[in-house]
Amino acid sequence: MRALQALVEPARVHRDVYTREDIFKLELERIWGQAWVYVGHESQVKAPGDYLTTHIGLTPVIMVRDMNGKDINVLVNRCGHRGAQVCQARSGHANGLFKCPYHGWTFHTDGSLRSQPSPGGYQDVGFDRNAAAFGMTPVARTEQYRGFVFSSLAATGPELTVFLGQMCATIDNMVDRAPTGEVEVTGKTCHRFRHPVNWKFFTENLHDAMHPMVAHAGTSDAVRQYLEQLPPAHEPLPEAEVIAPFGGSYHFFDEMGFVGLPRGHGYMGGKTSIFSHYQVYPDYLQAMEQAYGRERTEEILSFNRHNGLIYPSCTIRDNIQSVRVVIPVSVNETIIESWTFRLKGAPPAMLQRTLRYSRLINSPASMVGPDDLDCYIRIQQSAAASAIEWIDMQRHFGRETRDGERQQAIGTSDLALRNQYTAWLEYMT
Amino acid sequence: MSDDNLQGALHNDIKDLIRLETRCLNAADLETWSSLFTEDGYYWMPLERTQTDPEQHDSLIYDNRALMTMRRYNLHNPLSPSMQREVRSVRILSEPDIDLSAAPGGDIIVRADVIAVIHHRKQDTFAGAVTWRLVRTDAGLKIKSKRVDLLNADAPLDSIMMYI
Repeated sequence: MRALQALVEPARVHRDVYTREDIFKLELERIWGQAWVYVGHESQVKAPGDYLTTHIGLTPVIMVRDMNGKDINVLVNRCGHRGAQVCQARSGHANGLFKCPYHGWTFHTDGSLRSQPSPGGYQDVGFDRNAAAFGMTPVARTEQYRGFVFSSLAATGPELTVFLGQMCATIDNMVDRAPTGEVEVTGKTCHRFRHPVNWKFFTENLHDAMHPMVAHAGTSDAVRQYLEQLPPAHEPLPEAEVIAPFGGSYHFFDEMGFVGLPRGHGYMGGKTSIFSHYQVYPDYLQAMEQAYGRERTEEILSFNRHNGLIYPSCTIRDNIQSVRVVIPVSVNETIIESWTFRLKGAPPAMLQRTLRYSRLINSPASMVGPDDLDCYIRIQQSAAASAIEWIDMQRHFGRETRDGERQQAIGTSDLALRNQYTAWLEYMT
Repeated sequence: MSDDNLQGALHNDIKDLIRLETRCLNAADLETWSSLFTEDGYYWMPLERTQTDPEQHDSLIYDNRALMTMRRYNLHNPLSPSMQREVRSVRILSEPDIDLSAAPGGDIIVRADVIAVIHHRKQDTFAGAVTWRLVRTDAGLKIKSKRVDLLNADAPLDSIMMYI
């Protein structure tokens, strides 16, 4: 079998990275076990005891608002006694404690052991009730950035803001787009789209600007056909605003550009993006100008990134207030969860646009996501079976420019793929 | 006709409409299917059973007539990678419950359970509760809304390639 270093070359990657079980296990340990991974948003656990369950890699975790009302703790969702998962619900309220349904051990919302039934059995047997291992162990590190909660399973490493680097600006922009400077998650559940493929196909597609005009041609064609049958002076169609840019030209995406950042992060756009031609609602503009003044409002609304990737765990569309979370399940299974956010203080039309976008693009029943997924499945199947070993990523190779830690390229460059694999090798070797 | 007979005729019309709707989806005939809806009609598949307003929360599908038409153009369009494979589906409905007095304005509420099997890359089974709101128009009964609450709307789902 090839060594890890031999799987990634500057402009091509070996198919084994998508198919080998041992590599997936190493990714869990060295990437998902090291990086800051997105867990949730503080608005999902408003009251003391509110919790949300999710995964960091394969590790089940609970994000819970501490009974002190202030802290947000991220605990391994595992009883310190025999290891059963304690919470099964996606979200809920722990009334001051978590209780394991198997033998009745209970835990405080900081994960420490509260009580065991018939505790005499643990007296004088060397049992240390204060040991973290007998609680619901907190993950090694948890930090928030403007309400977005990330955890790392590694005890050491860069602080969250250092890890995020220039991706902080994407989070900033999403929050700043709220007239009150606050965002909140809209529901108790989200779109959960099962992808029967390796997780990397999803992150690699985010900045692949050579695919939309081909893979989404049928959908944009359907929109075009519909528009053609309308009378010439029809009202603008909100669905067309969302879908039409996915049929944008090569020139449109080249102009948008791509920026690659350390640790695999990156984004498309900056000045222009897939959202450039979205209508600005007058009542929203007014609310923003009242809150921030004209100049600052213009600055916030002209910030135009698309698909900000915080590698490996999430991608943020600050413009449309959508966060998609990557949850690896196995070497060829991944769940993509899409959460929508409400801009507090914005008129309802803004939330409706966010929801429309999410239904049309992110939903398992959309006319966009299933086409992307279909293409990933085609690669996954050939990677597992075909005699051809290498997968190409050399488009515009060597034509990127570097400015400090930023690398820039025209939108249809494969720089995004190369940048993710540079990070992948750094994590893995 | 007596009131009983009138009511019996209406029940038959309602059941005919529901059967026709199911037949259209089974045959992937989205053109006839969407014509069964009013101009402002919609198809809604929420993410949560407790949802009451599709404008306030994510939904799996919330399609107006415009989107129904776009999906019709997209269905089996070889330009869409996922549509290069045929989408086949079949639905079985339970005997519908008809409530003529549940909604204001004379609208009719019909409920039934559905099991739908969709074959695309593989065969997926869906089940759930369907609620139709029907209205009487000059052109006969029309569907004002159809709501489908999937049993597993909150679970990880594969691509859903056809209305349920």
